[in-house]
Amino acid sequence: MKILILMILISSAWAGPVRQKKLNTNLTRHYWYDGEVKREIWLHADAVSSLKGAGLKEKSNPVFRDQNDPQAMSRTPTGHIIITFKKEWSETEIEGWILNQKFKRSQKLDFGKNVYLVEVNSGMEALERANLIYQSGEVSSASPDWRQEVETK
Amino acid sequence: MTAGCNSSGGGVKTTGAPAPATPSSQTPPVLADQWYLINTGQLSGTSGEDINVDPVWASFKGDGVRVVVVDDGMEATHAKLAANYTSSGSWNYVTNTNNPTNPTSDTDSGHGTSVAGIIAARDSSSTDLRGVAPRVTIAGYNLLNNFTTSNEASAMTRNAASVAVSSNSWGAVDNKGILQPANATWKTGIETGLSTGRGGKGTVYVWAAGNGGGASGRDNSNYDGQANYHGVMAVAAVTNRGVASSYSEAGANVWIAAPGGEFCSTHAITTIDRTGNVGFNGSSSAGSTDVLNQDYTKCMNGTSSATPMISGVAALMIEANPSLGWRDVKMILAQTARKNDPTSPGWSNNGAGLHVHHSYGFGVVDAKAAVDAAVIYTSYLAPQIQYSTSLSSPALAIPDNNATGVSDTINVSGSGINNIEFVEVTFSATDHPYAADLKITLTSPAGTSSVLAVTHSCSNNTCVAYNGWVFGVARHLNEPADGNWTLSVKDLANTDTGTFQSWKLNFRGH
Repeated sequence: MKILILMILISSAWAGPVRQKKLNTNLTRHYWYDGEVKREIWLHADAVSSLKGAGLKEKSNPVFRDQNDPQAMSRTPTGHIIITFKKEWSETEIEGWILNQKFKRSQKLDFGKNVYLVEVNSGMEALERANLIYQSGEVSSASPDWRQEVETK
Repeated sequence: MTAGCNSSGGGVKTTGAPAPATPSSQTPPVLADQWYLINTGQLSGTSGEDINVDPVWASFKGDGVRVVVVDDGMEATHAKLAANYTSSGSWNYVTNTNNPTNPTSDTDSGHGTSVAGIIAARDSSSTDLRGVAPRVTIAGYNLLNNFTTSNEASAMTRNAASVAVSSNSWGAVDNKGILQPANATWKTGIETGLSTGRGGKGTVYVWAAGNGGGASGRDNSNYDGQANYHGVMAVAAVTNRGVASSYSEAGANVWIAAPGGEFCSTHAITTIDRTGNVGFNGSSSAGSTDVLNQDYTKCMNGTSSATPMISGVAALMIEANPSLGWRDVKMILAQTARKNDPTSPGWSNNGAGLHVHHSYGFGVVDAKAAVDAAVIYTSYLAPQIQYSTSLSSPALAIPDNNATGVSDTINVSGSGINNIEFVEVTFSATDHPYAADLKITLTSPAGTSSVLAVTHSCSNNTCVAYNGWVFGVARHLNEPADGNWTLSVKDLANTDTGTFQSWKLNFRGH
């Protein structure tokens, strides 16, 4: 009888699989701005990007995860930043601003208004500078140009 | 998605056995193999469970309409594509040229070519294999071979002025059970295409609802920030018997359904494959699990396959009536879709009398009905307006493992929207550590219930918290916005708890 009661107690307390969350000691928290939204990402120090793409210097570009989980979706900064300048800025103003920042290269993109792609020296620099540029309030948005994990359906 | 015809799966051709000397000389599949175009009950299917496009071809085959396949490449010289292919309209994101054909060294990218075949394979007789719109102009962007945030947005807008339909059988990785937001730059690209595409009529963006659904799946299309976005049309998949494919994701965002089939061993989608011993149909599958001619495959499937069928039908509609805007195309497709799987308890009529189902949207596409409606269409939609409510912050503790849950109501008045086209629900419960516990349901003033999230599991037990997540809802099409809207939140699993912190509504309509 005692055994039966114990079994009933156990079964009534258990309503699903145990959620064992793993400790991820080799992931460190970072963030980036997706438009106006601040998103957390986790640097996976041991990972090397295997994401498909031309011209990616894999070993020099860090791999981030979208969650604190080494199996979460991965993303790697390409070393470029996508900057959306304020709508009222003229092309001359934008080009002057870009010149002052001493980027390696820049190009105007063919979507939205006043959207540019600029190149810096490395993926990590792209993340850090994008954050600084956005936080300065000078531009509408500044995000690293990510190489991301997607799939065919 | 490919149906795993060979043991390697994933569409990679195995090369262990010698390839047939001249695979292209083998008899190709024919129209009678394309049950999704004309279902006569072949392959144990149900006669009539197809997209009803055969009667349309006497009048419209897509002439003069451009569809872009955004994917992993497209074989421009394929015998069934070459006559419809536009080089100037295509783009290769690896080589920065106009040729999206995969190099022969890339043996495993065949998906885009097969997708393109479903839309645009050229007809040359009354019985040969063809696409849904066999005379459409087809272009390819091989975005997935060099996927970056900037390229992603570019692929949504490149050549937009002449792109009628953008077909997208790709997206976030499936079956993670987590919220996967779309990039802000991608949204900017979509908005650009909606406003400037096809001479201002707007590019029609067709998007795969996702393959992480079904009994063993973790996903709902509402967790995918792209399929969930107002500017796209999310497409679910059905079998040759007209019921949900085992992998197809349900969601309140799903607009429409089309055949995606199941697997090679039962029935999938017959279409073209990259020529020769590359792509899906390799030497070990040809003539055994797949068709003998390696320039074709019968093993394509997924919402990847359903999506280009809708793209093809949209092209036929636009040929029939070039004045249609992107919203008109969506409206007609919803109003003419067929109520498949009619005895399913998941069907309901919304407040505007439209039948709707979380697995099928407004039903399976009916090409004949859609094109007929397009021809006589005069009720072009008035300019779209938006109405946003203020944020409601109920801060209600969600009882753990409790079927009653909590709810909050927002009263909408003076919105000016009598016909909803899309609803966006922004929801936060940031302190709940296991977001997948929550079942979230929106109920409209008309009484239509839309399930936005269901209790599920997250991959590796790591969920993404609801922090201003935007659910897209298609189901309230043509209902009025004014009245009381209620959001119910239930935690239907034990262990983790949290708070229904806030929500708001944004309506798009006229």
